Amino acid sequence: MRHGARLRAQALPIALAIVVSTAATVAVTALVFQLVARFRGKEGG
Amino acid sequence: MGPVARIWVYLHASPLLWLAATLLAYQLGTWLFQRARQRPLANPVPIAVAILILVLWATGTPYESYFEGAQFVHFLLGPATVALAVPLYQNRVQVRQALTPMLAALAAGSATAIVSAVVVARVFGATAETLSSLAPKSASTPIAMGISEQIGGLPSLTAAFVIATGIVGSTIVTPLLDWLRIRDWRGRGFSAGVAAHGLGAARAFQLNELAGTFAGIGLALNGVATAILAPLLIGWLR
Repeated sequence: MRHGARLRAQALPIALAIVVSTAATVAVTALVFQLVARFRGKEGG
Repeated sequence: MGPVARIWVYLHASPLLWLAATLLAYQLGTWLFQRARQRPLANPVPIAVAILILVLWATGTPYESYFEGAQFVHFLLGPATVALAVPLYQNRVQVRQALTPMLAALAAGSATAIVSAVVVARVFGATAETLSSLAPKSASTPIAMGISEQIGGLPSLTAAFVIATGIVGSTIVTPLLDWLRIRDWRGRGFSAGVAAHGLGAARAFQLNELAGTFAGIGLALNGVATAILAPLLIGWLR
């Protein structure tokens, strides 16, 4: 465990970054996909 | 030496022991997942990982000995990735129709994955090396490790972040998208692949083949997008 100490010292920022960023990425990707797909659908008639 | 100890010594010398242990741990995780009525929190991958960590720790087995057996499963990752082309070909008409939404969602999702991780970690006091290791965490492991090395991160730390991201992403994707009322399987799958690479794609395939197809495209495209965006963005964000 070469990085054990580093991970323990920064556990909070790392855990928060992974959880918040993953949730934000899922949400933004899906919302943009849906928005553009709907817009394209309307555009196509 | 008692009979149990003799059996253990015999099995311990065979790499097949850890191959069998890996498959059994995943089978147990899948059984628990089914028993929990496929609730996202009972994701079989983290359950199998936790079981294997406990077994390795309890038996004092070094990771290298474990990997001698588990490498057979590792080898199958290659053919499994290539096999993603089958549903992609079968759903090629829907894929072609969704090119514009995919490219727009890819640009937004890939940038969000990098910027949000680095900004949150920085606000809470992470070091510059950790920020660089976190930036490519949504790409698949070999790509993320290569990017991390290029931008001043630690590839082995990045590998751990990639696995954690996959576990978190595959666990939260269903409740989060249900809450956001995203019903389109294409968008659901694509976001799982972009945010949580192979583990997100595996989760998408469990739920719907079309979602799995789009997740496979999402994970492949996000590898390329992260390789382009992470080196550009990290200089501004660190």
